[in-house]
Amino acid sequence: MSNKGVNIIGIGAVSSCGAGVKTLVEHIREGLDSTSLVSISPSIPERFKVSFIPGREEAVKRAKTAEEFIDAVILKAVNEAMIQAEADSKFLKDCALIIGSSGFILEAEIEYRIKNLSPKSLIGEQKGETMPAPLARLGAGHIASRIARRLGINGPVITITTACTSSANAMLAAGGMIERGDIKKAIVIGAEFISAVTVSGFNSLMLLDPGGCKPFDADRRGIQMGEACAAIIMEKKEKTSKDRYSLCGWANLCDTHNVVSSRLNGASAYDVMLKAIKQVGIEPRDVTAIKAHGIATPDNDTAEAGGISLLFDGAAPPFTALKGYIGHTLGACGAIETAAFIGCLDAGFIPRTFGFSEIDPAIGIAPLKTHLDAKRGYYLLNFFGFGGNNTSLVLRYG
Amino acid sequence: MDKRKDPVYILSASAVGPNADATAAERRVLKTDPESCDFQDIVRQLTMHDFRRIGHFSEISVTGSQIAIRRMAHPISPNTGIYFSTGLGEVKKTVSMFEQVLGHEEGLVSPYSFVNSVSSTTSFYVAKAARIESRNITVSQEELSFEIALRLAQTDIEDGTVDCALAGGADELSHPRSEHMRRIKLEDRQIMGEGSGWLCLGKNSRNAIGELLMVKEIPAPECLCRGNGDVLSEWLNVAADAISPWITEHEKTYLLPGFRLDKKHIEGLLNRLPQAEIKNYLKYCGCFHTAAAFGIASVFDQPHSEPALYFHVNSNLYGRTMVVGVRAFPAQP
Repeated sequence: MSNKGVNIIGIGAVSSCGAGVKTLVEHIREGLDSTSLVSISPSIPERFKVSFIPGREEAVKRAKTAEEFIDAVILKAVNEAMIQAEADSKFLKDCALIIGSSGFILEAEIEYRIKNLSPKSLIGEQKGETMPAPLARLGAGHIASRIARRLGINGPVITITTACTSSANAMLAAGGMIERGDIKKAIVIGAEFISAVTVSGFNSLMLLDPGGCKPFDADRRGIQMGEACAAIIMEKKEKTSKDRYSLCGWANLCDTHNVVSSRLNGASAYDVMLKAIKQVGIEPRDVTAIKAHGIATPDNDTAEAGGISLLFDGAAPPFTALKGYIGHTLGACGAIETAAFIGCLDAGFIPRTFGFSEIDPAIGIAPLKTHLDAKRGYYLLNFFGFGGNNTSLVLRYG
Repeated sequence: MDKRKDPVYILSASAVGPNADATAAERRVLKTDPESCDFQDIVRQLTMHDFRRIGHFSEISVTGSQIAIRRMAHPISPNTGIYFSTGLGEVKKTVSMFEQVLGHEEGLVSPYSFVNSVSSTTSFYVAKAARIESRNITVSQEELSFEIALRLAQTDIEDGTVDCALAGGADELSHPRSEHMRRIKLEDRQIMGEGSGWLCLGKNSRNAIGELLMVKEIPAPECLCRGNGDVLSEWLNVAADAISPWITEHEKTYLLPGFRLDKKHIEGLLNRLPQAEIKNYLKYCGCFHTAAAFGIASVFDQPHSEPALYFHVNSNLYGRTMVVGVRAFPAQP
């Protein structure tokens, strides 16, 4: 196997399944439902399945500021990853901190609600003074600056914000910087918190499935919103390294076909997957399995499956999608799904596709319906986002 | 000196200011907070696309990137990465979305407001207008957003991930000032601004207008206590150490102070770098998170008769500082 790449030495996660990678993996193994039913707006009678972090409503109410809630979740994931990586505060000093998020809209929303007395909310009741205009759009970068200061990180601090590929691209950026020797190690964080504004936005595009996410299924209707935070600690690969997981290939390309959907023929998905595989120096037949993006919208699953069929010329390896378990966590999905996938491999299995039941004849290929035994090899991880932003990562296990 | 492996050249540049000014002749010194210009016609002329549903923020960004591409001596390579940066992103559409969803009527958001507010939308339109389908990254790191995007672009060119890079930054202002100040925190004397700045970068020196010398970070003050001096002198020593090795006798040297640098930092730097002169670009664009992009790109507003060095220095509110150095080449006959 190739010795290229960057080691992953610690992972941590907080998701709708609770805190910890172990809890997340157990939920996945058992196929437990972690969704809640919520209403989006008084004007929409339908209720939607959403994957909230457990206890978030109480936590938001308890928190005196938005940052108190957000930082607590992020630091919980970081602490778990640090314990696994056997990292202490000295380790953090010259580490880079790279956060991927679509923008921390929740922070602005909480501030707005606190100031504007708006009781009907996905985030719980908040009361306060009236403000003349919304305090929206604080910019995504201040959270990384704040977290870096709290952790005592002196290395580069970067926030990548490319919608649903944000934290996948944060891993890609970290991988490149470590491989080139610009930095020795990085903590990559993917963080996303559900906001009423974002849910309403996806609803306006008719991209939400009230019944939850059904990736690649004949009856799929769209997204199940989710929120999560994951931390991934990456460091330079040494020749003598015995570490089990490494990120050894990555590619990011922009599909300029349409701002909200990929080319339906799968050409864009094909291009980015092939580029990531070529970077490793392997062939498509060397891929053991794929963690698909599997967003469960009719068009995007068709496009991704089309790309997989093209790349593997009708002989696709097993593929699966994780959004049925934890929802679509937008900018966090790169980090949380990588952490979940590694957790499952570590526990000895490649997870089945929760939510999938019936093959779509228009797609012609089906994701995993049962867990498979994990084996050493190369795994392709796909992440596709709005703005045609497509990223594929190659994870080496063993 | 922290010299990089291979030089990265500046193939073209564009800086678009609040009055849709894109050339030296069009620049006007701002006396008060500017209003936003309408860029719709400019975007239509530049791109031949119907981008009428994009927001003002995307319009500024597409305009700047298109002007930079048009100023290149050669067609842009298809393997050009886009490294876009913004401090706040799409402010106006996001505010409007908040009002639609969380206002008194608790209504629904318009699909266009939502799509425009998504963080990858602007770089998508930049790519679409340029017909580029290569790497596309958006960085948002407050006052240092552009510097970080530039560093990612520089290293991706150096290691061959991309042949060329279109590195840019943009931010938009919003009124009233009191609201915008919550997002950007300016002093009363500082004029708020907006605009975009873009550099086309590549490894090939043919027809290059300049060279990217360095993008370097200076740690926050709490990490600078290496001697017995005070924090300011330590900061000045480290900043001057980053710049001075590049200074030569035969090149004029300019300091471009970012909007977070205060008087004592600027004066201190000038004391340590007596060869340097101040170039105050902020008077043309106002203060915004990615003003550095405007400042560095505007260095190339006019052809240079002699080579010159420019060093942009800015800090964020957490005390981190980044220095960007570029060399402007004399215009080719």
